[in-house]
Amino acid sequence: MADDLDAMLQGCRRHDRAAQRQLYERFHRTVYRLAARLVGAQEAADLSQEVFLRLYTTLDQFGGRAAFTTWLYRLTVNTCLAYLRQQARRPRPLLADPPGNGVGPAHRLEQTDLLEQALARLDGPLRAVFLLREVEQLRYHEIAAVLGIPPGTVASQLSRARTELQQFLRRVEQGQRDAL
Amino acid sequence: MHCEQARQWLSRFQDGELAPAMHAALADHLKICTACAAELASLTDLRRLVQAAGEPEPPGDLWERISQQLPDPARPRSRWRQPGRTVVAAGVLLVVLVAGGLGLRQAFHSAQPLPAAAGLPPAWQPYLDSRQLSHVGDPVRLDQAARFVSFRVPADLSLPEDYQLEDCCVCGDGCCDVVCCCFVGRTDQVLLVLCADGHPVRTNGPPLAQPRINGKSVRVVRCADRLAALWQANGTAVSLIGPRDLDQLVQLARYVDQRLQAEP
Repeated sequence: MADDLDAMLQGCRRHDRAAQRQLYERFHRTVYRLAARLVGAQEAADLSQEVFLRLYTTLDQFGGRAAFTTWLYRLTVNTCLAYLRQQARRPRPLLADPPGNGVGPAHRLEQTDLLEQALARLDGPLRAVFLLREVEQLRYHEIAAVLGIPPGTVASQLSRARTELQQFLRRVEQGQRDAL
Repeated sequence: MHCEQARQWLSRFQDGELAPAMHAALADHLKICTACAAELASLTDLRRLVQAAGEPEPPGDLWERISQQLPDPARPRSRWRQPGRTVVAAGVLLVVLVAGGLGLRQAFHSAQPLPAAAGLPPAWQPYLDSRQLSHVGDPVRLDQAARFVSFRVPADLSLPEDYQLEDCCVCGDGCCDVVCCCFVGRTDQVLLVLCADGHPVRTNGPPLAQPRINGKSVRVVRCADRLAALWQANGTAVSLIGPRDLDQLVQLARYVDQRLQAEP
């Protein structure tokens, strides 16, 4: 598997289109999944495209000291966080409040919408830590390597992210109970 | 074990990231404390929510979109990244450093060429990593550059028809994001660097000249054997480098300024 990946990366460095396609096929779901949860489904395709273009053009910078997936996660997270930082500088409509009084069962959020709304309330870096753990199933030391932060910081940020998400979900639950 | 301590450890407990002794102590506590057990159940619910949300499906045409943007393998690599084309590359550094105004320019010689594909000297990487600027020096399409910076970047930014846009990339200068566009003419190259308006600009000594274009003052400084013009236009700090002739520099600066002013 590793040899297979090495051959693919060597092909990509030679700008071999078949190797680029193979690398895309192997990793595009990972990149898209993370981007979709980090920035939302609407922007995920554009940012995934951006990640792969950067990947192909900056592959020379990957020295092979870290795992390729660590490098790819870092590229994806950094691209998405840069986008979120840029969006934060622009005026934008406030996100809707969680459903409260007056919201009936018919408006109950689907699981995906609920997760998206909950994640949207987290700061970008906290969201990244949470997703790398819960969606990508990385260990703390792996998340630390991706984000360039100490494992202890991963633990504390993850705990904070979960607390904020729990608080949001409790408010949603309370709102739905009150509406019944 | 106190509940306060238990709550602090729950997240790591759920992830199996506690040391064995701590894990065992917390497991014992959870057997007798219904409140902490309920808190753990709440964390488990959160995990179930993530799992239940399923995996988003990438669009079917994503590869086509990417491959259309990839350079033709048969095409020679970008001219401003080839060895020997160091003047414009040095210009990038000089202007970025001048525009940066953070004292970083002392750290690098202004004639240092850009390493191929890296965009900026490797010595910057730790600093840039700390800002999580993965896109440093990475090529972008001009119409996408605005997504990564806080200032206006006209999607149709151009120079007179003698010049074609060859490359565009987003860099970090240690303070702000910078868009660098390289235009190739029949006999020369011109680099256009855009960053946020109000960015402190420092130059070595007084400018060589301060002509006025479209009613505003432009500072002209020397950049290796070329000239560079620095000015502000419609919310953007602009640097234009490349011409050796002052008249040509002013003519190009006027053209760019008009394009920027035309932006709403």
